[in-house]
Amino acid sequence: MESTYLNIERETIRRRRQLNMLKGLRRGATWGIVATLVYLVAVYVGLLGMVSLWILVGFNFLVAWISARMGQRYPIALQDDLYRVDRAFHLSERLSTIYELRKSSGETDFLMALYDRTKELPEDLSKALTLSKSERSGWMMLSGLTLASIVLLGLWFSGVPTLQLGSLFSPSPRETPVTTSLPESPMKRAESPSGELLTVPSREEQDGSPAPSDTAAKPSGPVDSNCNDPQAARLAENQAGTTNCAQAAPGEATPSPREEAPLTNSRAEAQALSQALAELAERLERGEISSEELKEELEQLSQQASSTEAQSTLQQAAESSQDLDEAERQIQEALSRLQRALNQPEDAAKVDSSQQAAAGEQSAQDASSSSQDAGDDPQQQQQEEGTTSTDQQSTGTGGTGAQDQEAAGNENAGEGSSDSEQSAGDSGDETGSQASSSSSDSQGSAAEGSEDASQEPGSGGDAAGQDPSQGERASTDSESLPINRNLLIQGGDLPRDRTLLERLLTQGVPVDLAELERNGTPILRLNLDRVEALLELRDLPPDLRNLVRAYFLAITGNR
Amino acid sequence: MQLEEHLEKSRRRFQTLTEEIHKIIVGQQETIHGALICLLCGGHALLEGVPGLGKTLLVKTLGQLLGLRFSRIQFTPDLMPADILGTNIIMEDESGRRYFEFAHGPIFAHIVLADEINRATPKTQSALLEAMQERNITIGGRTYPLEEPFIVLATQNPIEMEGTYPLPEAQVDRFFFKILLNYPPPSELDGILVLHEHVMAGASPPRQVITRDELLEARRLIARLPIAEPLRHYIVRLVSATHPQSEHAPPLVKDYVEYGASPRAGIALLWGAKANAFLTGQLNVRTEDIHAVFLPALRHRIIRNFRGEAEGISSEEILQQVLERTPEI
Repeated sequence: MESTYLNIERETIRRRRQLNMLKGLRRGATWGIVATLVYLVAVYVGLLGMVSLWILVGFNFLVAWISARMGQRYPIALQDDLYRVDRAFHLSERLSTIYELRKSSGETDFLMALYDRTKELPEDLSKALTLSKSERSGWMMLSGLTLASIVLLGLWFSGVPTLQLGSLFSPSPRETPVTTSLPESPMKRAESPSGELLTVPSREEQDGSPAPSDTAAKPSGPVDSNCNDPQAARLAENQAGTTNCAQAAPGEATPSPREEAPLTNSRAEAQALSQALAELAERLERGEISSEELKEELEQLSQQASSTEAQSTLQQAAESSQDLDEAERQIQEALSRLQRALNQPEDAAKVDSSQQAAAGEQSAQDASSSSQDAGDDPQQQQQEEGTTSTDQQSTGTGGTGAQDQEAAGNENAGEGSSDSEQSAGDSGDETGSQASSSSSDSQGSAAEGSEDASQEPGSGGDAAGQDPSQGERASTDSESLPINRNLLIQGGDLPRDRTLLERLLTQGVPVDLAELERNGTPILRLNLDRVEALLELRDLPPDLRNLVRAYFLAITGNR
Repeated sequence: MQLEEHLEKSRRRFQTLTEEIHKIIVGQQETIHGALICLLCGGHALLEGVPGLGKTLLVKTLGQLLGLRFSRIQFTPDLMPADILGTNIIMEDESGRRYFEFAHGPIFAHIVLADEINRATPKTQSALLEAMQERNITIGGRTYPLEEPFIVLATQNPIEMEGTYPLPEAQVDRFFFKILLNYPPPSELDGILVLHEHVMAGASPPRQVITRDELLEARRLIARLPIAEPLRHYIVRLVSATHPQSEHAPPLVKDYVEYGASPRAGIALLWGAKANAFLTGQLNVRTEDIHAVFLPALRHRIIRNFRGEAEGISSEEILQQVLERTPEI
C-alpha cells in the first residue's frame, strides 16, 4: 500500500532529522566547548580576563542550540536512509526501489506491485537509522571535552594560580586591567628539596582565615587571588606604580592587617628594590650570575633606587663587580641600608608609636642578649650584635622584651595577664615579636602592637588566654617576620669549607649558606619562604605547621 | 497484479527449464544458474573446467530445451575464421552465370558451443570474439546480422596447456560470465552414474520447455526490473574497488592487481543482478542479487600482476576481499 510506504517514509524523515539534530548538537557543543577551553587556557595564561561562569555556560548552550537547529535543516538523503531501512529490516530493497520509481515516475505497474508487497511497517526505525561510529566517537570526544572543561573550571574555582603569561605580552601594565596584568610572584615559587619549583601559597591562604577586607574584595578568579599575595602586590606596584592590589592584600606590604591605606610609591619602590637585591644576592651566592650581568643589573637597580645613599652603594657595587666577594658585600650593605630606610617612619603622626615600638624592641634586644649571655657562644652573640638588619630583627623576640613591650603598650590588657604564667609568656612573646619585627619591616606596623593593644583592650591577653597553638600561629604567621633568618649554630661550630657547607649542610633543607665572613666564619641562613613551601608540599595540618614554624624560629633564635 | 502474474509465469518456465536440465545434468546448480543468467541477459559464458564435467552436455541440453538453433564448433589449431563465420562460394545459375553466394558458418545459430576455444589460433579466436561483440559479421563488404537470441558458450580446460592459445584479456572481457565447473561431490557423482544408466537404457530425450519468443519476452521483463540508486552506487563502488589505484581498493587489490574490472564488468553486474532477481522471483534488484553474480561477472576481468601470479593469489581471493571491504552504502 502506498500509505504504508508513505508512513515509513515520514518516519524515516523524522528519524533522520532527529539524528541530524543530534549531529548538529554534538558539533555545536564540541566547538563551543573547544572555544571555551581555548578561552580558559587563554585566561589561565593571562591573555584574557575571566568572565562569569554563567556566560560561559550560556554561550555553550546557545551555540549547541543554534547548531542543533541548523542540523535539523540539513538536507536528507532519503534514498540512502530508505536503503538502510531496507537492509536493517530485510525488506529486499523495496523501499529504496519504490522511492526510485516514484522519483522517475515510470514503471507504475512495478511501483504498484512493490506497494502491494510493502505491508510490514517496521516498529522502530532507530534500529536502522542509528548514530554512526564516527558520530558515537564524536559524542565520546564531546564527553571528554566536557569533563576536561568541568575539571578545569573546578580547578579554577578552587583557586589554582594562573600562569599570568599575559604580562609578557602586555606592552604596559597600566593599560591592562589589574586582573590580567599581575605577574606571578617569584616568591610564590620556592625550590623543593628535589629541586622542583613549588607554589607557595600566600599567608592568608595558609591561615585559611582571610582578613575581612580580603573577603570583601574576593576576586572572581585566581587572577585576582594574586592580589592576596603581598609579594605579588609589591611587584605589581613596582611595575604598575599603582596600589590596586595593595589595597586588597592585607599583610606584609601594608602597615597592618586592619589598616588598608595604600603604600606610598617610594616605600613600595624601596621594598621592591630590597627584594630584587636579595634575589641578586642569592643568585650571586649560587654563582648563577657573571660579573658582567651583575654589573648590568646593579646599574639598573641603582637607577631605580630613590635613595641617593642606596644609589651610591649600588653604584659602588657595580663598579666592584669584577670582585664578586666585594660586590656581594656591597650588596649586603645596600640591602641593610634599604632595610633601615624602610624602617624609618614616613610621617610624623606615627613617630610616637614607632618610638614606642623601638623602645620595646630595644628592651627586647636587651632581654634577649641578657638571656643568651648565660649559655650562648660569645662569638655568636657578637654576630647577633652586628648591625645587619636581619640580625636586629631576630633579636627582638625575647620573652622579657615582649613582656616589656606588653607592659608599655598594653596596659589595659589585664585579661591576658591574669592567665597562667606560660600564657602570659606566650602573649608577651607574640606581642614582642610583632612589635620588633614590624619595626624592622614596615613603618607604622612598628607601633601596631601597642596601638592594637590600646585600641582593643585585652588583645594581647586574648592571645595569651587562647589556645597556645593559636598564639603560636599568630606569632609564626606574622607578616612582619623577615624572610631570611640566621641560624643560631654559627661560627666555630660549623666547618669552614664552602663546598662542604653548600653540598652537605644546606642540601634539601630550607637553609642557605649566607656568607663566609672574612675570617672564614660561615653563617647559615634560614629561608622562611622555603619553609612555607615545604609545609605546603607536605600538606600538613595547621597545628603541625605551626609546630614546624616554631621549631625553625627557635633554631634561628626566636624562641 | 498483472505484471506480477506475468513475471511469475515467466519465472516458472525457467524453473521448469532448470528442472529439465537437472534431468540430464546432476548437480552443477551454480553452473546452470549462471548459464541461464547469461541466456536471459544475452551474454556469453566461458565455462572452465577439467574434461568430463559436462560442459558440452550442458550446452547441448540448453539448446535442445530451448528449441533454438544450436551449433557446435570444436576449436583446433588449424581452424580458420571462415570455418566459423562462413564464406562466399562461387555458384552457377541455370543460365551458366556464376555468382558468389554466402555459405553461413556455424556461428549463425542461437546457441553456439565453442568447445576448447583456447586451442584455436588467435586469428580464429578473434573472428569469433568479434562476432560475439558485434552480433553481426561482415564478409566481402556485406554485413550479416546474427539472429537473437545469440549466445556463445565457450569452454576451456585449465590443463593440457601445450599447443593452446590462451585468450587475450581484452577478449576474455567480452564474456559476460566466467563459470567454473568443479568436480561433483560423491553424492552427485552417484546420481550421475544412475542417470547415465537411464540414458543408456533409452530414456526419452529432453523436451522443449521454452520458445524463443518466451525467452525474448523474459529478457524484456528483466530489462524493466527496477534497481534503486544506492544499489547502482554500490555496483560502482565494487567495480572501482578492483582498481589498484583507487583509494577504496582493499590491500589485496593494491598489492596483486595489475588492471581492475572494466565498465563492462559493471554492466554485467547490473544485468546479472537483474536476471538473478528475476529467477528468484523478485520485483526489484536486491543487494543479494549483486552478491550472487559478483564472482562470475568479475573473476575473469581482474588481471593480476606478476607478484600476484607468482604468489598464487587467485582472483577469487581478491574479489572476496573486495566484496567484504566495500561498504554497501
